[in-house]
Amino acid sequence: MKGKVFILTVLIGASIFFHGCWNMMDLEKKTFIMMMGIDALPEGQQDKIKVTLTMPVPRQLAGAEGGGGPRPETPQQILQSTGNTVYGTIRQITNRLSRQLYFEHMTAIVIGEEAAKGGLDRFLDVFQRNKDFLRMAKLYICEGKAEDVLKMETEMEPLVVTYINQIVHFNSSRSLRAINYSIGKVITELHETNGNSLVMRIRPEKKEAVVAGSAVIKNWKLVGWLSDRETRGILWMLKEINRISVETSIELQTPQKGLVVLDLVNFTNKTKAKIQDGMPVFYINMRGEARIVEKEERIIKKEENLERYEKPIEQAITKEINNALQKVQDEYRVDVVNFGEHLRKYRPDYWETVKEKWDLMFPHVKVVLNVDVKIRRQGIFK
Amino acid sequence: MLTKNDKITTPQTIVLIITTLIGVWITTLPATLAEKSGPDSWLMVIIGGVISVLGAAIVTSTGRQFPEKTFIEYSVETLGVFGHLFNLGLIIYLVILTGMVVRIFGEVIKVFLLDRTPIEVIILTMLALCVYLTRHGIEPIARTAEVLLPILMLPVIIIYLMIILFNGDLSNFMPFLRLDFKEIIAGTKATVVSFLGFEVLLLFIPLMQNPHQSTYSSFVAILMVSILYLFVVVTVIAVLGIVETSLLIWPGISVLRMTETAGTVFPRMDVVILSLWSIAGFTTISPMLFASAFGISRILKAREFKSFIVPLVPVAYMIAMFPKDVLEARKAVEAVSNMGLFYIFVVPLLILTAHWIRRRVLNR
Amino acid sequence: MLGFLKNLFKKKQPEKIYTRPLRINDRLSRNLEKNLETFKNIFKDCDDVIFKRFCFGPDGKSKGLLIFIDGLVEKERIHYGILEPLIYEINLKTFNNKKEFLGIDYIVDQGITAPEVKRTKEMRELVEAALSGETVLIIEGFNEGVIVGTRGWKSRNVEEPTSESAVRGPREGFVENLKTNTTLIRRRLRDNELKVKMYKVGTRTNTEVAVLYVEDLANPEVVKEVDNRIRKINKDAIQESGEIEQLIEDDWLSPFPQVRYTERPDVAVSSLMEGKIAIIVDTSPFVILVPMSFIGLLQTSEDYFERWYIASFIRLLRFTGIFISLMMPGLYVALIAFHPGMIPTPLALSIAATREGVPFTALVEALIMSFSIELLREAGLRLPAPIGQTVGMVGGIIVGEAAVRAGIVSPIMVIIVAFTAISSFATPNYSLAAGIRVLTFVVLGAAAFLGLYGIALVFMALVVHLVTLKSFGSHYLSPLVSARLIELLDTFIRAPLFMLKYRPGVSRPQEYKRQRNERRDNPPREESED
Repeated sequence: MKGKVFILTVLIGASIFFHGCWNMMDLEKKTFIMMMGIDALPEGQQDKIKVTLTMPVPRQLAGAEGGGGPRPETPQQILQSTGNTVYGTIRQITNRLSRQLYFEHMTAIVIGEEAAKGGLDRFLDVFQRNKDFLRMAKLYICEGKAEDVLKMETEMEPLVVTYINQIVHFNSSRSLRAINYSIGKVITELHETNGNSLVMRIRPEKKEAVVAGSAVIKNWKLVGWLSDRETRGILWMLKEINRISVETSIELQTPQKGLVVLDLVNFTNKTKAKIQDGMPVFYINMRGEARIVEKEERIIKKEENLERYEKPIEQAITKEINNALQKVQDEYRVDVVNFGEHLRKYRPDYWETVKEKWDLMFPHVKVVLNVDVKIRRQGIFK
Repeated sequence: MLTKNDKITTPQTIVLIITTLIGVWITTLPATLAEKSGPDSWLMVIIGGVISVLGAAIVTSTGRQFPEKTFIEYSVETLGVFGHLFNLGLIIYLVILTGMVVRIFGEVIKVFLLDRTPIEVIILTMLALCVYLTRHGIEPIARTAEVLLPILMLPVIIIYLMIILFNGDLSNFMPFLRLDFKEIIAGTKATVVSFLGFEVLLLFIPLMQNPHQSTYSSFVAILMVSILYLFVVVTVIAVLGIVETSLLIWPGISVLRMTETAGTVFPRMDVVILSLWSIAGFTTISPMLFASAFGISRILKAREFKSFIVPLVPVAYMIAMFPKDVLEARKAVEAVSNMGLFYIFVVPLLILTAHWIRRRVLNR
Repeated sequence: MLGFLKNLFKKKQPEKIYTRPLRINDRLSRNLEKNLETFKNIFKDCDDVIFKRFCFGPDGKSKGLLIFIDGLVEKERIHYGILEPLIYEINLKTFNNKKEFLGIDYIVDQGITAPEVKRTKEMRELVEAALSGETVLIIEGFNEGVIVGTRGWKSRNVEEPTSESAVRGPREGFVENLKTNTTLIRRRLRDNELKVKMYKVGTRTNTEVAVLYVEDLANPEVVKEVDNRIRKINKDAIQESGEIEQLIEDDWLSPFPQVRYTERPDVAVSSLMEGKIAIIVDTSPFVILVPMSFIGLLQTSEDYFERWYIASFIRLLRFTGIFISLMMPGLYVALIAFHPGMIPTPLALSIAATREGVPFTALVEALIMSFSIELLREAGLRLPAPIGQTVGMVGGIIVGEAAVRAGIVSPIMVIIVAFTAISSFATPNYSLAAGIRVLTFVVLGAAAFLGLYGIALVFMALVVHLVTLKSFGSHYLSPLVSARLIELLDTFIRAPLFMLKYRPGVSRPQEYKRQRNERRDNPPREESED
């Protein structure tokens, strides 16, 4: 009996003395931040940043009730502020906000070009330290200013964040021209390689955005861009391909003139490293399947030989990869293809000897590609 | 079935030990290991498990020599005055450990779930609940553990499985077996600390229906716990990589926030796991609280242990509130765990030796 | 405070069993007139008590007195069973010696032709007998009275029970007549090991209570415990088995019922076959079954009459239903107010939108709606059948809609509450559902206090409570905490009948095996035609 009395006392006492439910905050008093944009302020004000937040206006988004009628203007509201640190700036915004900030639905973070050039590590700490931010939010680096992305007026989707996230979702798996890295993945990459990674790239236009290609990060700073094809070249070498099922298409110039477009699916790759003369040589084997989706030339022959496109494809892929490698090795000199990681894991002794100077060695490593594509189908038409 | 006496069966013992061990360490273990042992963390878990089995074997074989007596009694019997000292130390250790565990538990809940709630409330409510259960005795504690274990384990296993299948990269373990001896020792200590908890067996062996099966039970239990720890550590490091894991404070939970593919219905599995994790804390703190009260009742030769539970609560509470921040709390835990290792490895061996000597002397 | 401490140290005194006041102490006298006086006094102002004097015997000089209560007796039996043989037939007989005839023995053995006859000298027994519908026969010159069984009163026909209807299964239900109820059970269980023990409970109402069990299956300890507890009841009035239930249950503080009641004989018989004990209370069509486990409360007899696919599916459904009805409002408040991050983003936005303009917090909303639903339920019960159901449905829909329009509650809340109510209707046992309805508010409170952590705490507290709850000595969570894993075949699912070889352990029967071997794998061998 004594125990029950004690428990009751604790509970009642707790309710009385610690009155109130501290964490209870009703839903409508919170505002969900959907996207965040971070820009560096250009002139003079060196280290200041500008933070832009997007929040939905719920009334415009209500389901059944507000249906019908002309589409209202973009149902989102933008708030901005400038300050020194990300968190500090966000807090300043609360001066103007009638509700409480809530970040657990923030699924996209955009960092402007200038800000990225200044160094990403400055911004990323707040996302790692606070549980309020999602690790699976997507990180974008934008050409120009981040706030332009947030201010876009999209037609198909009510919210910008849905729009760009969906682009990435489809683009990365359907055409392999963009990478799909959440901020968690980027942070992990950056930690593992001490500052090298690829980040999604976005270019905003008035009503649309182009999410393709990637931004190259070296030593935590933005050093350049990769086009969509170059990104694809890199992606073909990364291990991600093995896990997700991707589709992409390639246009080929065939010997008979005319273009053929093929869809490539089911890729796998394997990387091996061999040390020759003190330098590592990477052998990459790739296999994939393809199907023909568009042909310019008309075939008059009765026999159609699918295999004759295989060689051109393999050559095209190899060319693309080499282009990308050249960009990454020669121009940017950053190891975004995880070769260093590979050495660390599979050739640890060798890695110990070279890890200090890996950044210098990387541009000179040789890569031998072996691409094997089989064409399986050609649609329903000869 | 109805057991009129307050004794626990062998399967109940196994479940009890499992749930006592799976407490708060599961979230911090990957970080400690990644920091100290890097890619060979999985090996450290296995080694830690083996050493814990060794420790449990020592504890249980000591206890089996005196099937009806708890540590309190037989330490005095074999070691005389030192026995009294050890008894006192054991009780102090258990109470401190209870306080520490409940503090860490409160910290995790506060950081991830209820950030504005005062930690006092979280700790007090958990202690109140433990009091409710503990007053009924060891058998209801074991029975509750029996019921709660599958509820806790199934979602945990499923969710972590999904995470590692979709996001895991086992090559993060790659530079294989490159640790030297010193590093192994350092890493082992950290792991064994996470297995601590079965020192309560020092007091529980006479409460079993078959005390002679205590070694077997603890073996099975530690095996299961090792498998679970291995699973979690592997998942965390596979998904987050060594560097990141060592930088996070609670990587066991942070890894759950990566579930992008796992959540088509519920994108945020970490909240579910955290609320289930209260079960893990509850099943760890209750036996410890019981052990403390039970130990005191044996020292004072009182009839009932029930009356000692409630007075222990303010003590445990104050101990829990003692460290002023998270870092201090974790350091305190490490300090206390040294005592635990002492009581698992050193003291029982002393007792066994003394007992053996006595027998020889008496038989002469 | 001091008193409390004093009580701690006082020695426990042995329990006194309360016996009814012995108002009627006397015994019969030999004088008929005196007896008549006494009885008329006892039954003063009871105008439905009939006193019939008659004369019988070879010379018509023996005097007799019949006492019975009009309406409780079957008058034909009095006529043909007592009066006719006594008055006519004895008169027709020739006795060699007049003395041969005289004597209660003769009358009882050869005179009365009614089948149930009992003799007693106690006035009290005669009064109770008369009150139970028996006829009392007193003869001049003898201080022993004869009680003749003549019960017969109007009672309800055996029809389909209203509270438990089944799609497939017998349509007979218990009625208010104890003997009919025992008949219904005896018909289904023609085993001489089925024992029926009678008690009279209730110091004033003297209600008859029958305890049934199968002797070689039920655990003798449990039988003894039931016997003990029934004997200890000293309430003055027992009208319903529910009162007996509350007076013999293990833990009156628990929201969970520890006995099961049923209106269906087939359920009672199944339970008896599992080694349980049935308690039938006269004037109540609800029969109590002990001991009971939590899982047992979730089972219906239909589970066994249908095939195992549908039975397993429905059982799982029910179990989920209980969980939902307990947790739903609490989960709603916890998710909305504490952790909206857990809800998928589009849904979260939609909910936020619909909650615009609602003045109350999620907790208050949940309380208002839950409360209204409970009121509606009660209202639905009070009104006569057809109106009641319509009012319930219509009221729910209209009130919900109107409340949403007025902006008092959000539509999500209405859905949640309606869903909770529906889930609780899926619970087969009304007491259990009622207990859970109350617990829902506790969960809601905990959720409002500490969010999901609070729900976890309450859930664990409930588990602890259930784990320590006992029903007549067996664990309440029996199949889940015993080591008999084979029982799991009949808890959340229902395995095919041939697999269910063992009786559930909750009743701790003496014999566990139910059936001998597996189902027929081979078709029965054909007799060769020779």
